[in-house]
Formats: sequence, structure tokens, C-alpha cells
Amino acid sequence: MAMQDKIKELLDRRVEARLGGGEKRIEKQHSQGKYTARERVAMLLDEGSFEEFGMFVTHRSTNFGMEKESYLSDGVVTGYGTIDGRLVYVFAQDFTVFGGSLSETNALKICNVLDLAMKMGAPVIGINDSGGARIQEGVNSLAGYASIFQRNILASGVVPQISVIFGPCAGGAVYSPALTDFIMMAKNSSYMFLTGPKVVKTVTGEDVTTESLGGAEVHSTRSGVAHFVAENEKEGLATIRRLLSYLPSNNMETAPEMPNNDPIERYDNKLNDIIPDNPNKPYDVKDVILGIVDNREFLEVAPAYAKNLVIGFARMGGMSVGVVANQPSYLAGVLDINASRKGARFVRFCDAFNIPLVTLVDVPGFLPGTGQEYGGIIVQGAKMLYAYGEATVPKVTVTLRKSYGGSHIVMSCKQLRGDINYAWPTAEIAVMGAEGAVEVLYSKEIKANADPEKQAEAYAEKKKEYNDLFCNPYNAAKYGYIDDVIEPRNTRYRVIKALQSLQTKRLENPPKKHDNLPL
Amino acid sequence: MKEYRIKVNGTSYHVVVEDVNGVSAVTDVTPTQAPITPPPAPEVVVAQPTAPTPPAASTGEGFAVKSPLPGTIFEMCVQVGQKVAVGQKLLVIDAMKMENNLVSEKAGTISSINVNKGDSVVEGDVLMVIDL
Repeated sequence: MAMQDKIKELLDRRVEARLGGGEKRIEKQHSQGKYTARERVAMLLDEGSFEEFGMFVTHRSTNFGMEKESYLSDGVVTGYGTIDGRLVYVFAQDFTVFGGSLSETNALKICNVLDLAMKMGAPVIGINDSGGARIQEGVNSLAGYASIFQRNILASGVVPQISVIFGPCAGGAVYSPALTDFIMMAKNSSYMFLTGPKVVKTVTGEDVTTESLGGAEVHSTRSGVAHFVAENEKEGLATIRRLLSYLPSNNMETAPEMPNNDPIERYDNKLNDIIPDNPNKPYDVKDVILGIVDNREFLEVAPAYAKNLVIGFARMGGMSVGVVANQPSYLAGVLDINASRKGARFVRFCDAFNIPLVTLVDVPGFLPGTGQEYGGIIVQGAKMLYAYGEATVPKVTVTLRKSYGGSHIVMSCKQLRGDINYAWPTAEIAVMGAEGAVEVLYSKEIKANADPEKQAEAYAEKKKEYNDLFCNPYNAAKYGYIDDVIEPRNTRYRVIKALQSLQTKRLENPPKKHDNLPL
Repeated sequence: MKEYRIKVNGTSYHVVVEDVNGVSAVTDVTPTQAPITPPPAPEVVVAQPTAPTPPAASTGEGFAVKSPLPGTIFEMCVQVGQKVAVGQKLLVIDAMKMENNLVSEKAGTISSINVNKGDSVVEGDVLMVIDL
């Protein structure tokens, strides 16, 4: 064969590989509003930056007549490229080939990408669109999943791992995304569950659809499994690019600084009026976040789940920060099981990847009730406490208003190694609210007086005494638990200055095999 | 569709619960026997004997608005028969040192209200039902 023929053979093979499972199946994928694996990779990465591996890999199975049917690439597209010029590794399951099912060889391709990402210290993005294990391959397919999981586990906290679900992701397959840092789902075209509607029907008798069992809405509002939901695939991939801009490539680096034109000393005058005169009235804490971050840009994580705690990424003075804020306008901003889990995982992610934490506190306490106690709020709340106490990244805390009891401690207080703790003049920092405190301290004394009017008077007087003493930031500041009381409109400047001063922070936890946080 | 017999304040009720879009909604409550001596008021509001929830209207769909947290009803903002839109304030619950606005997740007509101003509620109590 002449050289020219050999080159033509290569090009022909490439064309064949790029067709995946064939034009018909590609058409079907498109007709469902879904892109093919290679189209998705192209949209995700910088234009023309994709370098593919293992294009000519085929499966090795001879069971059930499988030797008669095989496709180049074997149902997964793998390789590397860049996002905003930074190296990332990707794999994208190709639904047009055997329904994107996982084979021995296809798992090896994914493992190869994960190994390279670890060696190079670069993020991995996996685009999932797969019917599950390739049944014909039996236990080899299971071994493939396990090999991927093991790599996900070892890569956790070393390189950012992001899972994008753009189709089915069912059975054991869900555990790879679950082990990664962030999960993105597309509306109406993706679903995740361990056991599908048919199994659910036979076992529990419940009638459910794929959407109501494991659709994007369920996982972004009820289970908290999905961190981001996209209207469509294009928007989803754009969000992943945006997310990566806030993250370092690995745990030895810091996130890229992005200088911008938002002056650090910018006042936000509205913040001086944001806290209602009546301390029992809610306001939207997102207005505070947008008021202090660069250019009002905030990438909220899990916005529809546990809305009483707002988490997300932003920049302050060009530095990437993780923001954690209680949301008074939802469930009074209480800490409950879901909010604690949500917050704890976010804080640990930021700590693992050297992203400073900015905590905005307005928390009335932990949610009381049997539902919470039976659900283990003791252990769940401890996760958040643990996460903050363990974190060694710069931690700047601003108490906006309420900060009571156990929840005060949890929200990055001074003794949990909060580096710089500020408070607004509206801050109330105390063991409990005036109502409860007066009841405990004075109810006997007050009830000794039979006249109900006198009783009410005495209650009011004692409450005022308590509020005057504790419901302000100065009592905490007196003991040094608050470093300074700041004017709300100047919060941006003060927090950025604090973050700048903390850039050289060095703090290490004692050596250990690993911790034993209350899971 | 499931049927239960429950007892509140000594009155026995026959309750039919129908599953609507994964949300359990009480669709019919019928007292089966006259009240005997009223025991101390229960802490949990299960159903109002005086205002039994009517059967679901013609559409057959009802959305139960449940209390998201334990507290006291501070203010009622809607009435039975009133049309509500998504995001409209339904009531205010005083809980956790805060007046919490409970806004509607669904658009529809209020078909029943189970609580009054001043009532104590716990997490999960059905406060009102919206006909979709």
C-alpha cells in the first residue's frame, strides 16, 4: 500500500469514528434535542482545542453475538483540551453507540483520562449519557465502573471533578457523578436514579415516571444531588466553563485572579438600609452578596435546594471566593439538616481547593422539631461545624444581624479559627433570643406577681434589659470575638482588605491518616 | 387512594386520602361518630371537625400547602375562594424570631384553609389547599 493510501485509510477511519453509531442514531439524538458526544465536547472546550484519545478503540466481547457489531471509539469520546486557555480533561459518553453503555474498553478510556488528569493536576469533566452497564460484557462492565469509582475517590480533593448529566444515568453509574464535586443536569432530558420506575413499581408499588423519580427538578430541589440545572445543553456547558473560572486546576494552586474594573472601595449605600427596622422582618441576603462582590456577579450553587442557606462563587478584588450566607427570607434562615449538609460540603470543597471563604451570618438558630431530631440534625449540623473548624483557607465572617446559640458557633465564629470577624451595627450575638432568655431567667420571679398587667410590664422590662445587653455587636466585640463593627455600605472594601491581608495565611492541621468527620 | 380511620378529640373520622402528583392530599373527611368527652387539646392540628376539607373540585387536583417549619400563624393573607398566583404571599408564620412569608408555589384557587391567626403549627401541617 502506498503512503497516500495509508493516509487515506487513516482519514476514512477517522470519519467512521466520528460518526459514532451512525447517521440514523445521530439524527435520533438530535431529534430529542440532544447533541452528540463530540458536539458537546466541542461546545465545552475552547474552539479547536480538543485532542482526542482512543478513537480506534473497540470492544473485545464475543458474548451474545457481540463480535458481529462494533464501533470505533466504543461509545465514549475522551481526550483533553482547554477552557479559557487552561488544560482540562474530558470524557463524553456516546449514546449512539450501544446506548452509551459502559464496556471494559470504554471504562479503560475513561480511567486513562482520570489518570492523566491526576498526573497533570487538571480538572476532569465527564459528560454522562449512558443506559448503564453493557450487559453482554457481564462482570467486566462492573469492574469497569469500580475502576472509575476508585479513580474518582483518589482524585477527590486533588483536581476538581465535574459531572454533566445530559441523558440517562442509572443504576451503579450514578456513583461516579456522586463522587465528584459538582453535578449539572439538563431540564427534561436527563435523569439519575439507582433503581428505575419499573423496579420501584414492583418493590414498593409506587407509580413514578423517570422525571418524577430522578429528573433535574427532583434532584435540584428535593434530593440536593444536582448543583446546577440548565434549560438546555448549550447553557449547561457555558455554566461549566464559568464554574471552572472560579476554581484552581488542582489542590496545589490557587484560583486564577481576574482583575476587573469594579473598584474595591466602592460603597453600596443600599446596604445601610437593608436591615428592616423590625428585627423580625426578612430581607433577601442575595442583595447583600451582589452588593459586595465584583460587578454583582455571583454563581450560586444549588439555588433551589435548602434555600435557607445560600452558597456560591464570586470574585472580590479579583480573588475567587466561596460565599456562604444564611437567607432570612426563607425559613427564617435557620440551619436545618439539608442546609447543614449543603453548607458543609461547599465549605470542604473550598478548603480543599484553596478558595477563601466569606461567610455572611444572619441565623436565628437550628430548626427545632422531631423531624429534625429524628433525621439526625445533631450529626448533620456537626458536619457544618466540622467543615468550618477544619478549614485552613482564609475565613472572613460578617455578622449582618442574628447570630444565636449553636448556630452562631457553626457559622465561622472566631473560635473555629475565623480569621477576621466583622459585624454590622445591626448584629445581635447571644446565646438565645430575649423571649426565651427572660422566660428561663425570670419567669418564676415575674409570675410571683399575680397581676397580668404587671407581669407583662416586667417581661417587657427584662426583655429590654436583655436586648440592650446582648442584642448588639458590642458585647461580643468587648471580648474580641468580633474584630470590628463596620458600616454596612463599606463591607466590600473591608472584606477585600481582609482577604488581601490573608493571602499569605499558613495554617496546618495535625498530621493524620484522615479525619473522621461525622458522616 | 387510601382510607384511614383517625380519632381527633374523641371524634372518629373516616378519611380518604388520594395521591395527586405525588402529593398526599386529604380529599374527604367524614365524622363517623359524635364526639365523646373532649380530651386536652392535641398539639397537632390534623383536621378541623367544623370545617371538613371538601372533596376535590371538578379538576380533581388539589395542592396541599404545608408548614415548612414549626411556629405560630402571624397573619392570614388570603381567603377561601380567592385566586392566587405563583409567588403570592399566602400567610405569615412567626417562627425562629422571624415573620416568615409563605408564598404560593402554585397558581390556583384556595379551596380550604385549615388554620387561623394565632394557631400553632408544626412542620408538615397542611395549612391550606389550592385547587389547581
